[in-house]
Formats: sequence, C-alpha cells, structure tokens
Amino acid sequence: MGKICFLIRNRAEHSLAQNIIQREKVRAPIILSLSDEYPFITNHCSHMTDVGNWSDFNVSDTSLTSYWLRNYKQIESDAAKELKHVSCKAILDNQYFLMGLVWEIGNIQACVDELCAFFEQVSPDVIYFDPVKTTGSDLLLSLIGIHGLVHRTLGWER
Amino acid sequence: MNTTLFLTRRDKITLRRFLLVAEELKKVGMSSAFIDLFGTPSVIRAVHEDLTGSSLFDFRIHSYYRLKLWRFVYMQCCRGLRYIRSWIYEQVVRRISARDILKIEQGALDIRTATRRYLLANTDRWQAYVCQAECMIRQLQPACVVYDLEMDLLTRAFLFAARKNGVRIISMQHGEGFGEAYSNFPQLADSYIAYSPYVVEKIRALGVSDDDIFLTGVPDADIIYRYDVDDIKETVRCEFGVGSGQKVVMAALRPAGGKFFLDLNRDLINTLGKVFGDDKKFKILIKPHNVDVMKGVSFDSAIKWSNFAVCDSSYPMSKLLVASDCMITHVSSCVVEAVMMKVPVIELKVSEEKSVWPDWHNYDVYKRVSGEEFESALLKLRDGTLDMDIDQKARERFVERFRYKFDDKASERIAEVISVLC
Repeated sequence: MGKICFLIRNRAEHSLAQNIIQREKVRAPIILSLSDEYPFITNHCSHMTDVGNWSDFNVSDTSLTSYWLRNYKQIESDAAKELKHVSCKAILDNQYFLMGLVWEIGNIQACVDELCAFFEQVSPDVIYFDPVKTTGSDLLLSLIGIHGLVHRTLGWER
Repeated sequence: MNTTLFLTRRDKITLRRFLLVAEELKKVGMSSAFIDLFGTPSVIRAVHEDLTGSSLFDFRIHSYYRLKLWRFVYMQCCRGLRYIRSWIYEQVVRRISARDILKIEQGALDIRTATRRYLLANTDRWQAYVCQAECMIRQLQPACVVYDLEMDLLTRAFLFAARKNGVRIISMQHGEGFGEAYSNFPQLADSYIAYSPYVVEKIRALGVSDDDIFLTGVPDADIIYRYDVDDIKETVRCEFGVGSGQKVVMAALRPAGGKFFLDLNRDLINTLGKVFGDDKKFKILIKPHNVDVMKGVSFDSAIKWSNFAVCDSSYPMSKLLVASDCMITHVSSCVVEAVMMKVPVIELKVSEEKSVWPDWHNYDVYKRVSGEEFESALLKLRDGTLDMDIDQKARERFVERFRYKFDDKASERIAEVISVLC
C-alpha cells in the first residue's frame, strides 16, 4: 500500500480516520487538518493524536504569506480581463468592490501553490477527505483530480 | 456644523485613535459622529471612558442596520434602469456559475470560475450595503468620512457611497498599514494620514500626490507623553500584583482568530512557562491582541503558573511597556512603540522569507530569534546573560523612520488636517 493521507476538519473526522487506519492497517499515515474557510490550510487539529503539522512538509501558512497583497496588481489585472465580459459596470468598475475579489482570488491561489507543492513532495496515493460545498473543499477536489490521486471519503454522514 | 464621520470596527486601538482625534476636533469647533458598523456601540463608550476617565460621552453613534428586503427592492426600483441591468446580470451570472466549479489548470486557479463564484456570493450584498450607506450618508451629510482599514466589504461600501456623494474620504492608517505591500493597494481615499516617514513613502507609491499626504505621527504616542511615568509604572505593577524587585516580561500575542496564530501563541506561552514558570524573580504579563476578546478567545486556561497574569486585550500597550523590563512578540507593530520607549524586545521570527512587514529588523534595535533559538534566549534572559544593549544611533535612525515627532500633538495635528480639508 502506498502513502495514504487523511485530511480532517474536526474531532469526528479524526475518529473516522483512526477507525480507517486501524481497520485497513494503514502504515505511517499522514493526518493533517483543513478548514472550510480561509486560510483553509490550518493546524487546528494538530493537538490530536497522530495529527501532523503542515510546516513539517514545508507548507506555509497562507494567512502569513499575504500572497494577495504581494500580487495585488497582477491579480487585479487578471480579474479585470475576466470582468470585461460582464455587463454590470456600475458594480464592477470600481476598486472598492474589486478589492474583495483580489483578496479571494489571491488567497485561493496561495493555497493552490502550497497544496500543489505538498502533493508533489509527498506523492500520496490515496487521499481520505470528506467534501462539502465550500471553496476550500472544491479546491481540494480539483487538485486531487489534477494530480490523479485516488479520493476516498471518511464516511461522515452529513 | 461640519461633521466628521468615523467608520468604526471592533478594533479598540483604532477606536482610541479616533476618539483622541474627535476630542481635538471638538476643540476646533467640529462635531464628530461614529458609524458603528459591527454592533458594538458600548465598546466605543467604554474606550472613551477609559481614555478620558469620564462617563460623559457627547459624540453621536449611528448604528448601521441592514435593509429590509422590501425597502431594498423599493430603492432598487427607484434606480430604474440600473436595477434592471443588475438583475439581468445577476441572472446571467447565476446560470453560468451553477455550471462552473472552481477549476485549476496547470497549477493556476482559473480566474473565470473564481470570479463568478465571488460575484455570485457578493454582488447582492454589495448593492445592499452601498444602498444603505448612501442613505446614511445623505441623512447625516458629513463633511468627511474617516476610516482605518478597508478590508471588509461594508467599510468599502461606505467609502464608495461617500465618493459617489462627493464626501471627502480620509484614511487614518491601521497599525503600520500594510507594510511593504501597502504600495500595491488601490487609492481608495482622497487624503491620507501617515504616522511615519516610512508610511509616507508607501502611500506615495500608491500614486497619491504629496498634497494629499499628511505626516502627523501616531495618536497613541500622545498618551505616552501625557503619562506621569512613575505613577503609571506603579499603577500597572500594583494592578497585576508585581512584587518589589520582580522583573516584568510582557508577551504581546498575535491575533488568535486564525488557528495558526492560536497555536503560535500557545507555544509562546508554554515556552515562557517552561523557563519562567513559578520563578518569583519574574512576573510574566500576557497581553492578548486587542481583537481577541471580541472574538471570544481566552488565554486564561493556558496560564498554569503563579507568576503569570493575563491583561485585558484592550489594555493600552504604552502603559504596559512603561512597566515592562522586556517585551516578547512575534512580528508586530508594537515593536516600534517598544523601541521608541527603550524597552528591550525579543522577536520570534515567523515566515520571514515571505513577510510583508516593514524591515524593522534590519535596524538592529532588538533581538530576533528563530523558534529553535527562542528557549535558549529566554534562559539567557532569565540568567541575565542575554545581550540586550541597543546602539543609540541605530535606535535614533529607527525611530526617525518609523515614528514622527516626540510630543503629544499627533491627534491635534490630525484634527487640524481634517478641519482644513473639510
């Protein structure tokens, strides 16, 4: 069995992950925590048994790196090109509104960069992760697809 | 009478700055009003009472209220064509977005899907906020709108509404602004108050002309010069039960809203406990970030040692610094205040390679250590062998760049700027 990675959000998902590890006799699993909201990549479960810290895999905390701020003008210019197709200029032609969009895109892109680097470095074969309808979850599902990883759910009933 | 409208958030430091300026505006015959954007009018009164020592509050506080649906629809209808256009646009966005998931191609986020998701989630909100902000601005007819941080949609909606209605927008920077990245920001205000020559440079880089930048100094500094230092020192030591001969080490925490910082703060406290726990020669004051209590975060449970005390998160940093022999923090703008007040600082490095903070550490005016070096630095501090001497010339260079004028006139200067502009 190759490398197996568990991405959990809370104590309930941690228990499910541990059940799977025992049942499947998973060796050296990687358990890390995620949040549904920005900054997505968090260590809020690292005090739980066997849950690691993202920094152990050189994954930076995106709330500290301020990617959106450092790349503000580039993101704004990319988003502006996209907004040309939108007709409602009254809303979109002002920087007061656009700042939120730049913040959102920048934060997501920062997570994409960090998670891509993580997948390339760790090369997991299977990711256990329960998707929900949030940006963070969608982002991870897309990345799992791009990297050709096997995705399994922890089985948490919502 | 010309009214200055302050847009207030939950940040008590900013509230204190706004109130200092409002008091000065009163002296020059200008009235001030506060728009309470996040439902905390009692906090504004409490900060004022703490600042002045008086419960007499003679400023107006207008609470932001969300529009009821019927009123929003009515107001949109009154806008006729614009409403119809935005309605059509929303329908189009909804249909397109329903088919789109967040796409990533070749390691880069697909801007189109991300943009549409953002528009879907925020367009309605933005319109409602702007609509309501315009209502309030027309009703209050301020001479100018003052804000500190443009990060939330509601504040930006007010700024946009002010601009649309020809009301002058004045930016009073938040903390140290956005440091190195500040120059990447769009220009959202008509005039900018700068607390230091460093910030003037960053604002110039936004494209703001020198005529619209006003170097005044930071209002908090006024408080420092109004203190009777010995009196404050005695009060603080008494309040936190600092014994005679006990040295005070103050740990200024980072905002614990993000889980990362929460862990960082806990690690810091645990390391301090390992080195100083129950050591009667030291008193450790834990100062949570001023936003933390508002978010319901408490560090009391992290304190297991008899010589540790947790301060109120809104406790003025300058008062604590007066009573401290050393300050420990992760990168934070309070290092500037500490260096200014000649309090030795130990800074714990955080992700320095990607930091957007000003280059304070290049001035060699405080000790900077990595996570691995932290405990040994604290041990040396405890044993009195840590070299904390600061070159006086370096300190002067630092203070000249990151602060402005050593007096108690910064809020007076800001009030003067506002009164001239409005």
